[in-house]
Amino acid sequence: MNEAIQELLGRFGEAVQEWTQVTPNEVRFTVSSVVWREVAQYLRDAPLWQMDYPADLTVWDTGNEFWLYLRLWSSVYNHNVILFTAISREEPRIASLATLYPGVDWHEREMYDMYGVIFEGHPNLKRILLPDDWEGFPFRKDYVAVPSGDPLRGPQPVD
Amino acid sequence: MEILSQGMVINVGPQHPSTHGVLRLILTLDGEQIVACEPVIGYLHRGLEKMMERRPYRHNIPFTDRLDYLAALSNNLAICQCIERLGGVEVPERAQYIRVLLMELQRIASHLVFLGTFGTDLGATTMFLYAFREREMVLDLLEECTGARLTYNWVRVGGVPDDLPEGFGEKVLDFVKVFRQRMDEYDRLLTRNRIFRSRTQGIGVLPKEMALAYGCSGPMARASGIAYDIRKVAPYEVYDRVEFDVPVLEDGDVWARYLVRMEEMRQSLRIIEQVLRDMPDGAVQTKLPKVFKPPAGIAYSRVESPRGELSFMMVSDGSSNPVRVHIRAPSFVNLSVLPRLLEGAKVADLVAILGSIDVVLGEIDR
Repeated sequence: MNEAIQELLGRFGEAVQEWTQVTPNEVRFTVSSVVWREVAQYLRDAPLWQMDYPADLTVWDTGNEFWLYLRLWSSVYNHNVILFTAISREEPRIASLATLYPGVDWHEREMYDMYGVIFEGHPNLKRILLPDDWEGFPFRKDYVAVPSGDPLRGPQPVD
Repeated sequence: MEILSQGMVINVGPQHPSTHGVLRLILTLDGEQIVACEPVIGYLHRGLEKMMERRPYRHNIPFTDRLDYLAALSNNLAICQCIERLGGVEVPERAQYIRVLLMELQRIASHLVFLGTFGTDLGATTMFLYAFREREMVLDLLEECTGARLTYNWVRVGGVPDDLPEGFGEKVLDFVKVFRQRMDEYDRLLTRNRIFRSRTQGIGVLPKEMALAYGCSGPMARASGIAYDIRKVAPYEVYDRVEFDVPVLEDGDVWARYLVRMEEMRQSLRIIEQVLRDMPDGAVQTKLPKVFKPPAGIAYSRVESPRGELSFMMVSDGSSNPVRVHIRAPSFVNLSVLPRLLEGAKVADLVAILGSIDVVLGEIDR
């Protein structure tokens, strides 16, 4: 795995802000959001990585920025890679990975649904769990909900 | 002369016996063939992940019972493992054995629900009665141990709440003996049934590349030739100390997914016997402080639930509540491949294909 890590670091240089090898077959990278898609594509296609299985993708809100978490697995090497990146809360935009990994399609829709993160290039970015006419993004830390009185519409955000 | 036909749109669910919960499918048909399928989910959405952010770590365990309600123990284990990794909590050896024992009983119970409902979906109603007769035996065992029949809430951070009841091992071994014979009955009733085979073989084929790219897990992936079983690729608890095989088939059709689950039940029996044989004496729980504050950081856990890779991811900032809890539900990911499986399939096969994915809407909608 060391050789693969060195190749990735050499290729993306400054864009990799931080990395740690947690176990012999798991490594975590924090990358700049600009290269998010390039790193994912490289990890999928590079012969030393072959991270062909999109295991998980999610977002969390620190209050200052949104963090993305992408977990990949390689069916060839049994390696795990976790990618992190931070994006701005005011304008949460990031390149979509749905065309690279069809498996993250629904995860990205869910994250759009809950956090309002715009995945650019996603083929079908619309709400998935909440009703289409829902207002606001309920998983954001500053979302305040009040009961709407309508059981079919659920709580609504306060202006 | 060419007859042009516009696709007919047909709505299935959300209230429909074959959708196994509140799942709605919008199908576009061309004659008998399905052209497009759009699953509509979210009818059971309760915002559990957000609710968990508002509560101390350990108060969240009962919520997980309501995710995959057919395999509540797997969910309990997944959240506890995640919290344990976050806080660096050790689990006593006996507790690990008890966990594995209960997980495998749970797997059998869950696969029996699949077997029964899948048989009913295809018109083999007798299978339902057989499968639920045996599931009742497992539920009785689990009830004796945990006090509940579905929402067990039994795993704790740092172990399990209590030791096994007196004479539990013998009762489980009795069940294993009976169940081995019953499995042969199932084979005679269903596996060697020609009608059943012709309704499942070559239907809903999921190629290996597609299964990988979509992140399918569990029996879905293993029926398509991917040897992805968390118990083997990243062993947890004491799965590295027991011997068992992971059934992997290449065909990727409904039939293969059925066979994988049947074989998994047999393997679970093997695991149960070994665990009961090797289980050491000792404590079942690590003492933890009343107010539990794991250090700041990120942790995730992976568990092979009956449906596939169940993963919890938690972010901690050092306080008593998590900043973020994310649940990677296997059914959610497995269902996302359904539109691809249904392209070009016959309407009559919809029920077989959907049944073979074995979704639980409680964990899809969360």
